[in-house]
Amino acid sequence: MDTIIQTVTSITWQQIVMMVIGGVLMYLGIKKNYEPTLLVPMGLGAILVNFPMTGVLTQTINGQKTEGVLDVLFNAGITTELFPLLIFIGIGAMIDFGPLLSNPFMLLFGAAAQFGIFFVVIVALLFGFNINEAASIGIIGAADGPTSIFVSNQLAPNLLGPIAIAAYSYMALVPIIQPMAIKLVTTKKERRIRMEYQAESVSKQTRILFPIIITIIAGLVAPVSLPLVGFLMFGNLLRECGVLDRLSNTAQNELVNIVSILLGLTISVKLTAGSFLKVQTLMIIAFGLVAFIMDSIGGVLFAKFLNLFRKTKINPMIGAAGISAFPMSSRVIQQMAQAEDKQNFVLMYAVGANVSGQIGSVIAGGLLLGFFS
Amino acid sequence: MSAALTQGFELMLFGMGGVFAVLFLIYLVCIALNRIFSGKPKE
Repeated sequence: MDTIIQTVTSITWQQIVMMVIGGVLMYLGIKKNYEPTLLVPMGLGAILVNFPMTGVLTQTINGQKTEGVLDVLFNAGITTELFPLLIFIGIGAMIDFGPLLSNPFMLLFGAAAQFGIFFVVIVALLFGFNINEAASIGIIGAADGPTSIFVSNQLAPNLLGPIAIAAYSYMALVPIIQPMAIKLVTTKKERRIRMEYQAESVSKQTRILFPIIITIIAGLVAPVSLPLVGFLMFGNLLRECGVLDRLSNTAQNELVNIVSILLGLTISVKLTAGSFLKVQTLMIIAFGLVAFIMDSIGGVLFAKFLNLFRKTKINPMIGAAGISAFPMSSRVIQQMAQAEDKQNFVLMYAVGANVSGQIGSVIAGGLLLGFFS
Repeated sequence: MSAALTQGFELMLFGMGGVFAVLFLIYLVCIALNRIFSGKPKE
């Protein structure tokens, strides 16, 4: 009885607010199906870490230091960058680079749609964040949870919690954010532009050599990005080599599932009331939204710029698909194109831009780290 | 503040320039791979 009274009386209102936030995250994941694989573990984790005097986090109880289980996991999986990198193997195994290899031109949109990252770095600096923190906030615009965690953990570990939440929440909100951003900078006529698609098959040799050569390029040109790119491409090689289907399936399913469980739960170490309930958190969440919007706008404006010089026009919405949120972004673009013209099929181009966004985001993350190293 | 902003703009130039440069390189690699190992068009 004494223990119950002691626990109840030692819970602060800030911890109760964090538990409510945990409940909201779980609601979004379960009821709204917003990135449930991450938001549900993070939601319950937020409740776990805000109870005082438990063995969840490292705490000093009655003068005795007890190492918490989530801190053990955090030090093993996040501090060492292990969990995000393992997830990259799974993502690589899931990605079919075929639509990109048959239309390599789409790669340029994967670069243009990273604009939001660097735009938000400037905005965050203007609001008083230091350059390391600003770069970590900007990486939300990579639209890629593991990259955001990987970069922010190195540059500003104190902001890891809100950055992870913003990254995963906005990825789930792509179907709402992107149409709004695209409509801001395109006309109906531009959205109706049709793009004829000619299916060209990609040879097996190309598919196998692609991840190997990309790994070598990343190692030579942007070495700091090599862990991210290398693990992504390793996963893709498992998929494409044709003799490791068993490993490829494991990477796509069991590996990603296990690491997602651990990652979501472990990130919640940063969701304690003391580290999360700050004005900074609200600013980070707002800046994350700006990053996503500016990514889409950057991609669209780049496509419009290219159209000035091209005979065959590109539907500028394809530019917005150059973010890393795959396959959601390409689906959104196809839906928007068909909403304007039922006979408009831009999906394969959008998929090409979308997978190049996967590469673009990890390269951008690596370059951010490279800038500070 | 202005020193931090200058660094921010440097980061923007370095980052956007770097991403475009690397992806353009990958674009050239894709074209080369497609030329060397051309796949047959789908029917």
